[in-house]
Amino acid sequence: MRAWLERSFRNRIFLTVLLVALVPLLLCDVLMTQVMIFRSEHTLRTDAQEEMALLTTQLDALLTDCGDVTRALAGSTVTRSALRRGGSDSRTLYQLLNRSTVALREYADFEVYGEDGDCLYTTANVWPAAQSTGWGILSAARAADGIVLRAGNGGLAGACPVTARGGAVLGYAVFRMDDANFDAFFAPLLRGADDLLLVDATWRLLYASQPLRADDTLALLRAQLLSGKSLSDGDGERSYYVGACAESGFSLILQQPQTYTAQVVRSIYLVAALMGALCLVLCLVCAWWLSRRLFEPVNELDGAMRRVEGGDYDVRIESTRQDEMGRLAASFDRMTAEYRQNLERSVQRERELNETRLRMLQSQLNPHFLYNTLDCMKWLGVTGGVPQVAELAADLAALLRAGISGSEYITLEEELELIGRYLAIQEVRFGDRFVCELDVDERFQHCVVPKLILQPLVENAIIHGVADSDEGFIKLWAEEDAEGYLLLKVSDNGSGIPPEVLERLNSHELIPGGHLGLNNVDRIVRLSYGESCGLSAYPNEGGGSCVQLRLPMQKGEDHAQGTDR
Amino acid sequence: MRRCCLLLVCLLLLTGCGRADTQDVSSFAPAEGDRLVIFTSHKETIYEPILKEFEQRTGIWVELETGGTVTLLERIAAGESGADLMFGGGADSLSAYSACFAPYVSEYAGDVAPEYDLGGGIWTPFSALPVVLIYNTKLVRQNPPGRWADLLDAGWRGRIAFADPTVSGSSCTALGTLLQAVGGNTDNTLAAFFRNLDGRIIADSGGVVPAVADGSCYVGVTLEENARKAIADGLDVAIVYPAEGTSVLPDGAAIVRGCAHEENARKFIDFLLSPDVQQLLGTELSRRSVRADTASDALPELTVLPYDLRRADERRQELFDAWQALCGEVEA
Repeated sequence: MRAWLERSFRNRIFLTVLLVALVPLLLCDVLMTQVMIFRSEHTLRTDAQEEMALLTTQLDALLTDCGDVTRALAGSTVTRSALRRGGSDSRTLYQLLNRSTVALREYADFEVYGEDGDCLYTTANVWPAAQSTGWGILSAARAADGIVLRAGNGGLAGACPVTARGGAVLGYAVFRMDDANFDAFFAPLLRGADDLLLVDATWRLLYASQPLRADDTLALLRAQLLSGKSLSDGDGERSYYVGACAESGFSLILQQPQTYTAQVVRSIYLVAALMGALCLVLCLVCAWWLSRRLFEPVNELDGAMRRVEGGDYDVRIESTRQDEMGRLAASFDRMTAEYRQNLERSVQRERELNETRLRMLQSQLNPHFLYNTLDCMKWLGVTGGVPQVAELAADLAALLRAGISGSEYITLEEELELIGRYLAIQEVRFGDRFVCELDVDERFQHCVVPKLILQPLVENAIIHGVADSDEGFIKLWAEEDAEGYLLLKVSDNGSGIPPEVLERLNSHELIPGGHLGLNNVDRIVRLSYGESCGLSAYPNEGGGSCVQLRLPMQKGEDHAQGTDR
Repeated sequence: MRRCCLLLVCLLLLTGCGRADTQDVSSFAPAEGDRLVIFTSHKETIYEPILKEFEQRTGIWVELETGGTVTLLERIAAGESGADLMFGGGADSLSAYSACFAPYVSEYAGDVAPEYDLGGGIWTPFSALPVVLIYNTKLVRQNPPGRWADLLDAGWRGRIAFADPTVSGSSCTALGTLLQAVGGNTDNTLAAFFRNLDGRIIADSGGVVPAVADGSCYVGVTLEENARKAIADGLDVAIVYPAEGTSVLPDGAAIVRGCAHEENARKFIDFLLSPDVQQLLGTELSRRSVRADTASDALPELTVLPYDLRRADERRQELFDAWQALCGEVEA
């Protein structure tokens, strides 16, 4: 994993995007579910507790009322005398019975039993069966000598013995509540889906609002209570709340269907998990797409750079994007293009330099032979008494020697001396038809220039400028321009250079039919010193033209260092 | 990576932090001193009213486990059953497991009729169960059987409903009683009775009353309790108390040795022998009281054949062998 992360920045972006999208989502998912369930259950529990409090208070109040009425019935002289008299036809007792129980009769039936357990008076429509006096409620009432509450036949019963003054039991006043009575009492108090179980002190069933399977449910709850577990039905679909009736000792068990049964919770979790999975897929796709989209140009750039490193300069990233990546790609394209051009140019220059050198080598083929011949001619001139021939041969030999001697660069002073020798030869040829003035300031004398660079310029001035005139005038001088370059100028008053030749000369193009010398000078200077140097020409105002050579200002020492390199 | 793990753990904790807890009901549970664990082999009609009345009178919470006599006794014998009291089981069964029980002499022990007081203080008798003859009142109009000896009469051949004595305890007791009542050579009597059954043996004791009531048999041998219930249910069955007398084996209850709630178990035993419960046996539960002073007007006086538990135990195996031999002959 770590290796995978470190391998690519893209992987890191991918993972970050994924986590940033996914983790908050999952957290929300889980938190929302938990909080929702917790809140809802809390509300349900609070509601149930309120409901339970209401139910227990109401039931206690009812049982107290019933108990009070029964006790009053048992204590009444009417009851006592009716029971003492025997029979079940006392109109006054019935009057008392009806009058005292009128408010409670919806919830309970009131009865008076004889001392042998036969029912003598009742408010019920159905005459109840005789009760055992040695068993159940009547026996308990006699033993307690007061009101007792018990599970009766299919319900709840409360009984109070009717005793004579001596303490002998004459009979029993009893109230009974059956399922119908309880239904009438609890129905308005119970909420919709809730069920109620009323149990006695040992959790035996007295009443169930939903009798179906109530016995089984209670048996299960009682077993759970006795084994110290919390109350639940087997499959967790209901929750139970227990409330105690303080007065009677009975308990109420409220049974609520659980909103969030195990099944519902499972479904919620399933949905949450599915949503999470869906989002995971979505995040994966998006993160992958984003990282890919972001890294497509970077990868492309990376690949292109590799190819460039491998020597392929034709690589182009043709991006249509407008963003930073697009601009980066465009810059890259420009950079490689420029680099490629530079390379081509330097190759070309190298080739041209080589060619020139080759030519110079070729021109050096026979100089020694020529030099020796000239030397021979000089001595022949001296011995033959023709001093002009000897001078001509000496000048030519000096020029030739300069041409083949070691260094490529000489000082301007030396160059001017060579020009002087050249002029001497040309004077022999042209006689007095021209005058050449060399006017170079002392401060430029030690500037270094390529060897024999001025000779073609002077030759051009003589041959194309003043050859056809009788009063030709050539002037050579030096200047320093604003940028500190050395300008060597050769001016003549001849017929001038034709405009198309001037143009070509100034644009450093080859001039067809002659002027080869100028071209060579221009090329050598530009190859040696760069594009800022070179040859230019312009017509003079008073006729003729001026050819100007621009060179860097290099003194002797600078040059020595330069050539050492 | 570590951070990722931490996050996952947090998520798990969040999902794990469970549901809202339910109401604490421990305050409703009874204290240890108010509990009693009873194992019973009785039917619900017998134990239910007794348990409820006991709970209401004493406030003791009864935990009940029901099952077959032998199964429950085996569990008690194996120990760690948690039971305080065994309620139910015939005299012979309880005697056989007497090692598991703690002796207790009830405050009412003096009121028990001597013929039922067979437990010797180890177990306490609860109700008496006489073996009786029954017949179908529609099919037998004249000369119903009156004595044990009548079952050997050829007139009833193949018409006697008798449960397999090797399976049913009451049937085994009945067979022993028959042999004792008829007298003479035991083997001959047994063979004669077996012949008279004509190979018809009811699989268990519960099938006897239905067999007689639906007319597939004319007469049957069963416990008085079953017969009285059948009559109460309106079936065409009448009871005959054999003239020679009959054996009346009591069933009982016993306190488990070393139990957790011995005091409450003793209260329950006292309650079982109390006049109230014993009265109820006769009036509501179709059984006979074991108290000498509780006579029911509805039940005739019994002529009780003496029953020696120890001898019966020895004789049972002989009886089984003889019975198996007879069955084997028939199959052969």
